[in-house]
Amino acid sequence: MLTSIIYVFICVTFLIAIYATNRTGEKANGNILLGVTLPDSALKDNAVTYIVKKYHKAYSIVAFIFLLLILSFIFLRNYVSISTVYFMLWCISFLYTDRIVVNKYFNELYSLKREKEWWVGAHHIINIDTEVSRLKNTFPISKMWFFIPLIISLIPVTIHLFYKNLNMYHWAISLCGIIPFIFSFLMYLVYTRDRTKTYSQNTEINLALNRIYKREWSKCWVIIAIMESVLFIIIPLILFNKISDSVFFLIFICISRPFVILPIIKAYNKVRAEKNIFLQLDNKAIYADHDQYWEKGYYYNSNDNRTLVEKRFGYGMTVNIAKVGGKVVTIAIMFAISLVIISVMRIAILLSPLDFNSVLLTVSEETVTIQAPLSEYSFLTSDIRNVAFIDDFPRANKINGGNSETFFVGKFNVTGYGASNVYIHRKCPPFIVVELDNGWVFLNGNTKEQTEKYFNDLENAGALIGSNADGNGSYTQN
Amino acid sequence: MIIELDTTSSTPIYVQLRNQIVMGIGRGELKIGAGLPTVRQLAEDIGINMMTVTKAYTILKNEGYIEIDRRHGAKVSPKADLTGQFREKVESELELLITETTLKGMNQKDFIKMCNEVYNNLNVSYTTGGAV
Repeated sequence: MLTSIIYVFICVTFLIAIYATNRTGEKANGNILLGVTLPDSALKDNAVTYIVKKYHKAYSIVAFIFLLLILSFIFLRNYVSISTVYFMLWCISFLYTDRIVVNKYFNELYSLKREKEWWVGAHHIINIDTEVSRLKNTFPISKMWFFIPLIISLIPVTIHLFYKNLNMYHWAISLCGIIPFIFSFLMYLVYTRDRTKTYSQNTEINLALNRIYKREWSKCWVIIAIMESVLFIIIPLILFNKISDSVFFLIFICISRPFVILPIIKAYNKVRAEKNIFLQLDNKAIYADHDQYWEKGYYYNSNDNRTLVEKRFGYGMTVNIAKVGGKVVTIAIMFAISLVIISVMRIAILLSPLDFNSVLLTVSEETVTIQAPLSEYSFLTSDIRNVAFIDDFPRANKINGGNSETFFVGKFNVTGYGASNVYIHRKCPPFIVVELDNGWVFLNGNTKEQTEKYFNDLENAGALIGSNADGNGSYTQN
Repeated sequence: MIIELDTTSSTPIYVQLRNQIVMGIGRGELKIGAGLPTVRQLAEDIGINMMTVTKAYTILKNEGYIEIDRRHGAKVSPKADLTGQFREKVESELELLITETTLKGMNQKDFIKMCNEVYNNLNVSYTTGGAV
């Protein structure tokens, strides 16, 4: 259930993000509509409006279908492995379908533009405003602001230095805060070092718009770094209060994501709004037509030294595939995606016994063996002190092993019993409690009859040993 | 000033850059004493190698249009020195131009007329280069 809720949450967030990104394409960003540069007069052309309408309809339908597909998680909620595979397939097919829709309408509009010869500005001209270029380093907010998140994200590590007996898990969690810090700082550098843009013949406008762009984006990454560092300081603090659970960690990361992208949306909207206001007032706007570098569906421009360039619509950056750096980044991303797919598949295969297998009990003369999904446990029949039934399984925290919707397998801290070996179908009471010389074992079968059979087997094994020992074995049944 | 560079032109980028800056100074878009971007800033914005910008700046400096200060970057500082060397350069370039235009069928009168028109349209400030 919990896994499905996490998946649904991620899918819905993802769907909203892609939908919002697609929406940005249908509103003119300067002279760029659906990623195609058009002259002012063509922006309101009927044929253009028609393509934009078709695009809107297409991506809305796609979003609706994929929203319906999210509902399938209701039926898969009891199967961790299947829902994991389904989640991954959903993500891949949604991204792929969206890409097809965006490319289709870009090509349609681009063909119309070629047909009507709506060329805007020169193709191979680069315009540079020397004054903007000279002053560009004064536009972003200082990188010294990053000292605040750096200090905050180092707090957990510093605290840990004063504690003893910490395991790798604690260190890993406390160091996690450094990753978003580094990422934000790199993004800050990318945006502040990004080339200046020449919007107009009027230097004042170029100065104003470039200042807004650099200032907003640099501020955005500083704010994100601070937000992340504060979020990541909470995690180790909570973990120290014994709520040690990797699921909690994952939920925390997932839920915090939408908040962290808010500064990005704010910066993007501000920059775009200011640009449109300034350019409407200006009659000396400079347009450059770089559509030919985007016609393959990605950016390919060997005349451009940059590896990362701003997307034409949507949020963020994309790579210039014509450059070695761009190729490396693309291959790295592909590699990372393949790695994620393979890992998820492996995890799903690994988890599949939790969905489909059951607890098997084998009793021989000397040993009792429990075969459960992902684990196996055996103990000597001579160790059995007592066997009993319970109808309700007490609250338990995992120490190691697996907990799914249907199973608890492995070592658990069971309320009232302490650290115990647990191999149970959670939804098939009753449960058998076996008291051993050195602890407790909980188990049951997938049906009540099976559980009763296991109980009898254990009782017999215990009785045999008990009668051999002193002829007075006592076994209780609650 | 706005520099316009054509990436497909047969004229090398550093020559285009040098010419644009000279024209900018002439038109008064770059005032005397005005700062120019550093080599790194300009190279980043154009998306070219720093060597290309350095080459253009070095030429501009040697020709006496700009000064390069290690701390503050480049500064517009045209020097009015009609040296014999520069006169020779102008003469040789004019010779070539006159020959080309004559071969294409333009007579002296039309050439002088065109020179006057272009001269007036450019509106190059006499004071830019100091007391010329």
